[in-house]
This record gives sequence, structure tokens and C-alpha cells, in this order.
Amino acid sequence: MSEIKPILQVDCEMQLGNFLLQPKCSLQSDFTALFGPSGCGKTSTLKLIAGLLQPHRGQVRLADRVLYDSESRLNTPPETREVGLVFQDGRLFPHLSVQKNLQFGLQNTPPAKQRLRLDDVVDVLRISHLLERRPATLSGGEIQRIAIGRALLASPKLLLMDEPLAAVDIPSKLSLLIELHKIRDVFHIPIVYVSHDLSTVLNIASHVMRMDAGRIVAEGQPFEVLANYVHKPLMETDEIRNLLEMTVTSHNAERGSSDVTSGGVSFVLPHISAAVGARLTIDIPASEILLAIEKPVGLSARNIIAGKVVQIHHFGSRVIVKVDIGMVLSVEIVEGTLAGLEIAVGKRVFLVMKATAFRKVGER
Amino acid sequence: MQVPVEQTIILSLKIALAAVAFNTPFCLFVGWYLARRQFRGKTLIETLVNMPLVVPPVVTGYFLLIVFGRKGLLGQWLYAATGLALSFSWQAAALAAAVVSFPLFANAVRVAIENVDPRLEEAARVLRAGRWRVYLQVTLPLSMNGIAAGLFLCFARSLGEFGATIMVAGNIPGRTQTIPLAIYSLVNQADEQQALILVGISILISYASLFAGQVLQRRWQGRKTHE
Repeated sequence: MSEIKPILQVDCEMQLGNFLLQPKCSLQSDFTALFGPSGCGKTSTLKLIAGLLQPHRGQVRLADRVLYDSESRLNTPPETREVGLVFQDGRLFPHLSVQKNLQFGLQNTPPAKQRLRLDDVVDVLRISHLLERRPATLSGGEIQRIAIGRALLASPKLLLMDEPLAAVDIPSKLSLLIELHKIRDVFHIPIVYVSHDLSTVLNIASHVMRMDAGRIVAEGQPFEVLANYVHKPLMETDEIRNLLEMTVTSHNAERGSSDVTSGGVSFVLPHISAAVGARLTIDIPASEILLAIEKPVGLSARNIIAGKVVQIHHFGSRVIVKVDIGMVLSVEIVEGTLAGLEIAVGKRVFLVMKATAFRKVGER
Repeated sequence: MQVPVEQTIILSLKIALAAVAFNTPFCLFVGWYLARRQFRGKTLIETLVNMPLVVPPVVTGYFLLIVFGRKGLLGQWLYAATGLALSFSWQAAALAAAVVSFPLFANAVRVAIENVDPRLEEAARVLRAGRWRVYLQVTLPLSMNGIAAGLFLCFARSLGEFGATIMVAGNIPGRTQTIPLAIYSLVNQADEQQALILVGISILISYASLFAGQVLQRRWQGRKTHE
């Protein structure tokens, strides 16, 4: 671990009223979720990193550059930190068109530091039809797309996101999650994502930090950090999803189905009204996938795919089994099933998915 | 001695416009500073800014004379250096109008800027905009409605200035005699007819400038919230 250069190092202390904020972390991951209950100091931590709050003591480093150091009295102002921040409420400038909003940070960026072009960002976020609009006419999902694009176009070296999807409806949220992955992969900008919503965290992050009462109390791989963590929604109601990007390979009119592929794995879905070659975002909830230890026969389900168990996680009475079928999918079962079928890491299993369990959430 | 009415009107407009132009940069700065900065002694400064509202204009004029007159604290230095005397010139009238209308303008700017969501300014900061750019690209455009109203209020008040003007600039027809001073002189000379013409014109200009301020404020307000 210590051989990889940290992207971000924070070790600060700040008194906010009678609340003591003491974030301490060293990040190597390109997609980190900062997770914790409301009021635990997540947003303030982001503001410390962005320079909108000044800690009383400590240090903030971005790669090789010291942004804040109380000992040498160094405090880089926000505008030169090269840290982007997407706010929960979007904060688009109401007096500017969407296009002018997008260009705001771009215009303030010296040409030598401009790494992204307007067209690329507009394309990835699918916002070309919104450019002439005024912010007041946009939906919640649209506002956040623009806010994310605007932050990206300032070519930050680190992008902070403060619950950008909290006020967004579920379908927009799922397709935005896929786009966040794309942002990381296409633009190579590491992301720190703040959320109190565990299902979101589990879907997107490669690294999780759990914060409580002003401190970072645990960090590591998402399921490890969150295992044994007592959290009612996660234990009872939060839906664990699998978000997949799929390409349509063919349509079968007779059977009323469409064939799609994702990461080399083929699936059969109910007929989709999209052209062959179209790329879709598909959601299949972990609870909609069945697990079998022998290849089932005589089933109506259209998708039966062999794989291997790679991880098992417990959340109260819920069990999430991660199965590698060429890509890793989360499957939800109950504790009794786990013992009854003798499922363990390394075991060969079959995943059974009804064609109708897949839900299309987006198309590009 | 009287000069043509038009000359008095043009002189008045020139003095009022000069007062507005002189005040604009100061009011934009002071209004912003009072709206966005916390500092020790803020209340003292606020009170000082508002003083011209309540001090008799004659006192303001007398004070300006002491400072800027040919033998004044700054005035004698200015006279020695350049041979120019500010007092009893149209510039002195403009200065008097500017000082008296300053609080109206500065307070309008302050209220307008206080109404701009500071979270938008934060958003601009993390988009690589320094304080100056944030002010020019976010704060000012979003407070334009209040600033426009303040500007027209300043103009209207400058046109009506009497007490400070007569102290520091005198009542010299064609040079420092603005509409209110001319009305005063005409009434003293019992030239009611001429006086009435100026009274009518004075009311008209004042109404028009306040009306324009209101309309602009309404329009910018609309742009901010509805489009």
C-alpha cells in the first residue's frame, strides 16, 4: 500500500461550535465513498479539502502538493486548489444559460491546464439538448448532470461530490451512477463521493471510508467496511443493485426477446425498442437473482449462467453473495440458504435470472 | 441675473450624473464590504456611512467646505499643488450631491448583495474564480436589480440636493446654480412663473428616474427567478 502515492492526504482538526471535526485519511483509490450518518462531518470534510473551510490545525495534501498546512501557515485559496466540488443542491448560476454555466470554470482555467473539452463532457453526460436552457427550467437530475459537467470542465485533479444524487429520482439516479463510473474511466479524475445512502455507496465505490462524529472510523473495501455495521435500512429495506452497461446484439421478433451483451457475457431480455448496437444501462436487483448449485433444468428463466463465488457479506439476516460470471454480480439470499446449500467462497454456482427481472434505466 | 432655464437643467443633470459616476465604484465596494465581510467596528462604519441621511445637508456642506475649500484641510494643499480650487465650482456641487446621496446608493447595493445566495459564490470559488471574478461574474449580475434601483435613487437625490450645495458651491447662475437653487432664487425674486416651470420639470425628472429604477428592478428580478 505504501508504495502507491496517495492521491489525497488529510489530517486536520477543526472546532465547529461544540463539534470537533478530525478527519484523517490517505486515499489511493480512484473512487472513494465517504459514508456516515447526517451531521457526522462529511460535508465539512469536503469543504476543508476544497478550501471553503479553514481548519485550525493540520495538513491537506493533494498528490505532491500541500494545499493547507497550519505550521507553515499555508492556505491555498479554493480557486487555485484544482479541486472540484459538486454540491447536493447543484448551485447552478441562475443568471446564466446551461452552456454558460458549463463554461464558467472552463473560462477560468488557464489553457495549458484545460484537459477536457465541452463536447466530450456534453457527450458523456448526454446534455446536448439542454445547452440553451435556463437552470430554473431543469429537473433535479438535469441540474446535477450540468453541475457535474461544470465541475469537470474546470479540469480538477480531484472531484468531490456531496450527495449529488440525494434529490434525484431513482431512474435518473441509476443512469447517473453509470455516468460517474464513466467519468472516472474516461477522464481519469479520482472521485470522493459523500453519501449517507448505502445502496449508492455499494454500487459505485471501490473504497469506502465510514465517518462518525467527526472522525473516520473505518476504511477499506465497501463490503468489508460495511459488514457487521448496524444500519437499519441496509439490513431491511435498501435494495442492492447490479448496474450493467449492455450492448444490444440482436432482436428475436418471434420469441419477443432481445439479446444483449455485457463484458463478454450474453443475456436474454424481453424485447427492447433500441437499435442493434445501442448501449443501455440495465439494472437487476440482487434479490431478483436466484442461486443454484447444480445447473437447473425445466425452468422458465431464460438466463442461466455459471460462475464462482468470490465473496460473502452479511448484513443482519441478509446475505450478499458476490459471484464472478465474467463480471461480478451481487446476489441476495438469506442466511438459511447459505448453510443449506453449503455456499462458500470458491464454490461453483449457477445464477438464474428471469428475462423480465432486468430493468432498462438508460440508453445512450 | 438669470440664465436660460435649459442651461440650469443641463447643469443640474451634469452635476447629478457626475455625482452618480463618482459614487458608483465606492458604493459597489462599500455595499459589498458591508454585506459580505465581518470586521471589528463594523457598526461604527455603518453609522458613518448613514450619517449624511440624518445630518442637516448644510452641516455636510460646511464640513466639505472646511476640508475642500481653498483654505481647507485638503483644499489648500490641492490649491498649492495645482492652482485649482474645488469650492464654488460645478465639481464642488457634484461632490456635495455625491456625499449626500452616498448612503442611499451604498445601502441599496448592500441589500442587493445580501440577497445573493453566498452558496453560489462558494460554487464559483471552486470553479477557479478568485474573489474579484466571483464579484464580477456572480455577485454583481445577480444583484443588478438592487444596484440599478440604488443608482437611480442616487441620481434623483443628487438632482434635489440643496443645502450642502449652497454651502460648498454657492448659488452662481450658470456655474453652480442647480434647479433647486434656481427655484429658491426665483421665488425670492418673486418670479413665480419661472419658478413654477422649474418646479414642474424637477418633479418630472425625479418621477421619471425613480420610475425607471423600479422598472429595471422588476425586470432584473424577473430574469433572476422565472426564466
